[in-house]
Amino acid sequence: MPLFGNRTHLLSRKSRRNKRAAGNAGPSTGGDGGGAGGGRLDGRLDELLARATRVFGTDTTLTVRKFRIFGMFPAAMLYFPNMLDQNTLNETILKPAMSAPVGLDSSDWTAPELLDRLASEALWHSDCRGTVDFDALVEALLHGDTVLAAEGSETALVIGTRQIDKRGIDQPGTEQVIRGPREGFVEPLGPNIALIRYRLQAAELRTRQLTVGRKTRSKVVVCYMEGLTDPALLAEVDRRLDAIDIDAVLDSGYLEQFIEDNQWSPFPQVQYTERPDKVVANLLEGRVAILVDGSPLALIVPTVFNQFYQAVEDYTERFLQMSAIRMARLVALVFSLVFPAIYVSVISFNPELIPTEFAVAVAGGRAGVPWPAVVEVLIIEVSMEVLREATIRLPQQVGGALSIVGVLVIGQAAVAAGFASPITVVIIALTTIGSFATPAYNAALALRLLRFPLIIIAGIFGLYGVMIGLILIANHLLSLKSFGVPYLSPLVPANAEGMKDVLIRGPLWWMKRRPEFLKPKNRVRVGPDMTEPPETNGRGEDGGHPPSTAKE
Amino acid sequence: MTKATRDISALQATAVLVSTIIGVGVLPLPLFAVRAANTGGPLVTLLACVCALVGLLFVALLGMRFPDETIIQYSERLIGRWPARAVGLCVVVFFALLTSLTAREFGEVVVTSVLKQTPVEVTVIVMLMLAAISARNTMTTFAYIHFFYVPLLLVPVLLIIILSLKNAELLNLQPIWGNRPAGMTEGIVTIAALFQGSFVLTIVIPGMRKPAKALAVSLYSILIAGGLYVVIVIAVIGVFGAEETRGAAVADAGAGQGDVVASERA
Repeated sequence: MPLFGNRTHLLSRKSRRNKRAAGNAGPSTGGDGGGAGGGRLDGRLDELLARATRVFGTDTTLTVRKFRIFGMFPAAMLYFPNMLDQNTLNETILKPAMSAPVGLDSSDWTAPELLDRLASEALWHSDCRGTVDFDALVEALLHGDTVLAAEGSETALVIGTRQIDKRGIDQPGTEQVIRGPREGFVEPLGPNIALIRYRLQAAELRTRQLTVGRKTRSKVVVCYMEGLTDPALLAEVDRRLDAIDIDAVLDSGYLEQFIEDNQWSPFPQVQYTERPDKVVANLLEGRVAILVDGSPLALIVPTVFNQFYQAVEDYTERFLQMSAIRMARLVALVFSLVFPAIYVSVISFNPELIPTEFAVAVAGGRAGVPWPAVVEVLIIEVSMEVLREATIRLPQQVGGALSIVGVLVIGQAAVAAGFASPITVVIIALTTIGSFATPAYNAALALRLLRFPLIIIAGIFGLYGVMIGLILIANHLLSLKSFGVPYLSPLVPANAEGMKDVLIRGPLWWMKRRPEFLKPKNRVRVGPDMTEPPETNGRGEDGGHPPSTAKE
Repeated sequence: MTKATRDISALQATAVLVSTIIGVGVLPLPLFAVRAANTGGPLVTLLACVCALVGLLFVALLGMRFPDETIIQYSERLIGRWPARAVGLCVVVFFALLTSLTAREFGEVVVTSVLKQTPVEVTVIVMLMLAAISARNTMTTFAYIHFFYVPLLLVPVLLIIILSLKNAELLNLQPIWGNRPAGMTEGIVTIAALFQGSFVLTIVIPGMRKPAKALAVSLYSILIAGGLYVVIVIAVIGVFGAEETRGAAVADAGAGQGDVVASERA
């Protein structure tokens, strides 16, 4: 009996899959599972139960219920009672199996075909399938299904009874909107797919399920639009997911780290979201969504940089306001990256760049501060990061108190004590608030991180250093790719159609085509007649409006 | 370079050329132009553009004959192995020299205007390292990088020119053929030499999606870069007059300052 679990990582992916398909490399037989490996069932009930005992050892939650089908054939039902609803089990399986339903003549039933006929004639349960493979049984049991086996039958029935308690569908905590749907993903896969499918009632929506994680056997579902998503992209997603070989996938974040293009880059190359509407929008643009059982966050690939400052409201609210707000968000993004660095370089190298009166005020504020500007800024920045991290970890009731103590009291006291100048505190506060304005937490993290090297290089080289640092960052961004898509698309390489959704959010009737960098097979998004709002559309010449199809 | 992936569009190739051509040459350009032909500076620059275009067209035509190879590769087939290697070495040395001159000049600018106490070596080394790190990317990324910076290069220069035009005097530009047409030929060659960077086209062609567009690329890039040069010269002479431009390097700063900000590109 080979110890599959310890060796699968040595085999190529293909051979592993073949083995799995052949039912050889069972999930529970791996390594420490003991010598109760796979193989076919032989029809002896005692033997099956004994093997089950060997696999699950002394585990006390596995329940074996012995009974007689129709009072004649000895049978047993195996299940983990905590993973299913026992009432359903009693009503839809046990009851019809023990007492033959009215009008069913079971006199000519024989043991070998017993379970097959039971499934098709007696059981009142929709999800039934027979299996002859012991490993499949074990896997089904672990999944929360019920196994029904009978003496003399070489097949066993696997009945899908899984029912895991889940929390209610709730507002997405990390992506709140003022205008837009209020539903967020929950942990189990089923409701999440339902949330997507009820929004996107298209036959082209495809889901493809695979299992990742040698021990956790996590279900991973790849969602895409048939006839729209680029097949090459799909193949690449499959290739990367297939190559993953770890023992546990506890969240989609685990997958992200295995499928992203450049692990060393501070910038995230995969977007995550807990909003089903966002997933649907991305699917319709030609992207691929990856959901993991047990994670309320779906991954979306490929991801380009501009997605990180786009929010759902950009599209649900009217375009003019949201274009302005998006630009404000961009300013905040730039703020959070360069503001302290520019401050440091101006103060330490080029004070002549600020107006004299203000320069005097700044110098006055810094009079008692014992360190150079760069050290001062670094100290305050680091303390700010500490405060921020502390507020995240604290229980909610205490959090408010800490932020008041932290921000108000410490900031004020630091200035009063001559530890930092007031203008520094202002700068750092602006920076921190700026980094909160970025909708994507992981992108904000990247900029937060990059701020520090930028401050240091500004302390050494001044504005020249800031330029060098920014150019390095820009060049890095330009060299990044997410699943083959350049990270700064549609800005570079330029695409006029895509530009309508970069700096501003163009009106929906402008954005007639899906983003080209995703290479969708069907590019038309908005009908050709939607050149202008319906109001002016019907009026023709009398309105003062020319067709607003002009590019910006 | 790395294995060509043929992903560079004509637009990106133009951007590569434009941003390679426009460089440190902007600083002494008005001086060269005025030295050659006084008020005829713009005309000289224009003729130099034509001259550079002719040279570039030859290079482009040559490259289009060997759309899959760089000049280093196809020159082996054209003139034999060892002569080709010698020529290749010359090209490498030429670009190294060009880079070092550029780095040196920009380093001096930084040291004179921004970091007054920093040794020029430091700024130059930092700049070279920045270029080296960025150059380690693929050909496509190389094109992306250029494409990204071209607007940052053009817009400030054009803005400064437009803003400075309010001080311009039309009389300063007359006669347009200059007061001393004899020195024109020399000036044309000197200024045409500022377009040397366009030689990079020979390396870009194998990465282009449609190498057949190399001609259009060279035409447009000279049009943009040369046009900018002509406009700069017009602005400088228009504002300062020929004599003042020749007399003081101050004039360089007038047109050059915007470039300093934008020119810290790879």
